[in-house]
Amino acid sequence: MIPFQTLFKNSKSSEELKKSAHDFLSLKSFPTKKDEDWKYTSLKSWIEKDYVLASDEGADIEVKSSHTYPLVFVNGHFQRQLSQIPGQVQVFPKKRSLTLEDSFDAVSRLNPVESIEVSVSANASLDRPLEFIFISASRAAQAYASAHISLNVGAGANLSVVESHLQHGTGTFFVYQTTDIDVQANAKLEFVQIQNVGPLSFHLSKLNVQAQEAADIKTCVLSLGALQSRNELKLHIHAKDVSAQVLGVYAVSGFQQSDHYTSIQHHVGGSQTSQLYKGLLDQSSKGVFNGGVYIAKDAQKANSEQLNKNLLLSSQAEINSKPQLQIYADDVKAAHGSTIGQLQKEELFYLQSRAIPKAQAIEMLSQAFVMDVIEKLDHSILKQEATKALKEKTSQMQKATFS
Amino acid sequence: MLEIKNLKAQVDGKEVLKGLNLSVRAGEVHAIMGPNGSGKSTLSKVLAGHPAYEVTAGEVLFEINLKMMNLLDLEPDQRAKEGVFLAFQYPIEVPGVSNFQFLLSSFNAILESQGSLPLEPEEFRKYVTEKMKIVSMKPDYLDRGVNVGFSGGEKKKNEILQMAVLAPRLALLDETDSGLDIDALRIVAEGVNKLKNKENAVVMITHYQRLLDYIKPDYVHVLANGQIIETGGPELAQKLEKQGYDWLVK
Repeated sequence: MIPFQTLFKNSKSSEELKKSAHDFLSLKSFPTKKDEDWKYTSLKSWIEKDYVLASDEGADIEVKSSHTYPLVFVNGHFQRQLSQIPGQVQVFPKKRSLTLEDSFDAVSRLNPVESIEVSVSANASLDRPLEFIFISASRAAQAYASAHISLNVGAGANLSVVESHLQHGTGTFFVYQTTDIDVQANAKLEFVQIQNVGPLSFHLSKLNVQAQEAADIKTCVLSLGALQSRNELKLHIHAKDVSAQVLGVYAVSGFQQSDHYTSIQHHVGGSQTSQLYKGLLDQSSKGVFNGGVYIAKDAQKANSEQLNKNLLLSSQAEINSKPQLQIYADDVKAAHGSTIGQLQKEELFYLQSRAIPKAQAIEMLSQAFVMDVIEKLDHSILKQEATKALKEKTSQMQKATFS
Repeated sequence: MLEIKNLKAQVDGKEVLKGLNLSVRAGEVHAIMGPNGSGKSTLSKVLAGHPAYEVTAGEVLFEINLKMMNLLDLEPDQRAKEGVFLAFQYPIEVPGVSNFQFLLSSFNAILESQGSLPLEPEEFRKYVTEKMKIVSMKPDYLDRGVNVGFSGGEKKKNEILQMAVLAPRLALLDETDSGLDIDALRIVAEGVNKLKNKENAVVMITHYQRLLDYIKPDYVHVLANGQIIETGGPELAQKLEKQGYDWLVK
């Protein structure tokens, strides 16, 4: 069976694109559980489904945003009329290169959406965060959407970004999202991604960050929605004095699966990175944290930390935590750690003994477990948005367990 | 208001309470003293509903809406809502939950059980800041994690603050005096005395006479080997201080 065959059949992309996608897929197939990087996530059932290509037609979208500058995308199509573009920021379509990176990339060429480039001027400082809102909307039972965005943060600029992934309707979506970010020298970027798509969907997000000299970067991904999600984050450090904090929270329940793959690449020395990912897993959910760090041979004085902590709220929940360190330089610091635990019974009893019902006590303790990740964010709006999304999710999780 | 009859309980398969009887009326202060390992802390944990302690026999009746009800049927949070409060010997640290959020959730859970509307955070902050004066706690303790980084004395003061906020009918103080210096002991004891009235009762579990200098008991009980073996007035505590437990336990 050819993966995504209905998309091929109905694609409105140019014959050239379709052919290159087809040629690519005939040579390279999709990853399977035999691939080390996909050991715990099976794509089989997802790539064999018949999807309708979701367009932006007929979608009735309203965006209310008074505390951000929204840039709205519906099924990957940029919606200029729903967006607010501040001065110091330019948004323009960009031709995607014909070079295909992998099978997902090949399939995404069947979706004739433009890639959008967002360019923030050097030394810019906006009064509100930018908000990339990606909405998947379709009346079809099974739909496919992909989106591609490039963000260029000019030298010395100071930028905060919220990237929200939402879905209208409860159908099954296959969403493929790529965000490429260039952070120029001395620029500061704080970036929060909130994935909250529908409960039957598959969400694949690739975040590729390139860091130049003395860039100050903080990223935080929140994986809350989707039946199955895969979040890839690659950070390439091309110069010294980069400081990067890579954060993440996954909170899943029911039969949700959430797979996080990171690759922090110190190509040159003299930079610092730290990763902190926390997972909250309830019912029969599964989580994966595959945390990669690569320090090149000459990248001396690189400093890299990694920590993954997990709280299992049920005996059926599962987490696979795997650090992957490849260090070729000798004068570096690289630390990593991983923990998997359960709720502390004494803490739970203490809260209950103060009249707090068990479900609420569990909710308070599980929120407390993950909230310290959010506390590391600087921008109040980013913190507020992340807190709101996370609290809604932990509250839902307890309602589901105790109902 | 509390009637314990022939209570037997075990933890980790070991029987610790072996037929304990105790009766407490509103307005009374009871002290329970006894050697290490006699079952004092077990008693308080069983009454508060700690899941690790299993009751194997006997009953605990507690007055709820003028009726004596079986306390052991209730979950720990329901017991708290009905007015049972345990001041922990070792208060638990709860990182990530602020003291304020903890107290507010606790207070509103009680209000909710009484059919009242919850208090808004700002209103509650005023209310609780007043209560903090009872135990000489500074308001900034509200915004710290529950007991996180608190000294032994601060943790015990925080317990009494929770007692002040919850206004229980039955307060069980489990070695509240342990780990306190003399100033903190006085503050904590005065706090308890301020909260004491004719409608509520206090059961203090303690090793030492010194707490009883500050909080005057009506009854002193000696708990040994899982049973109450002696009951008297305040003079019994003084006798124990001088002579130890040997004369009773033999």
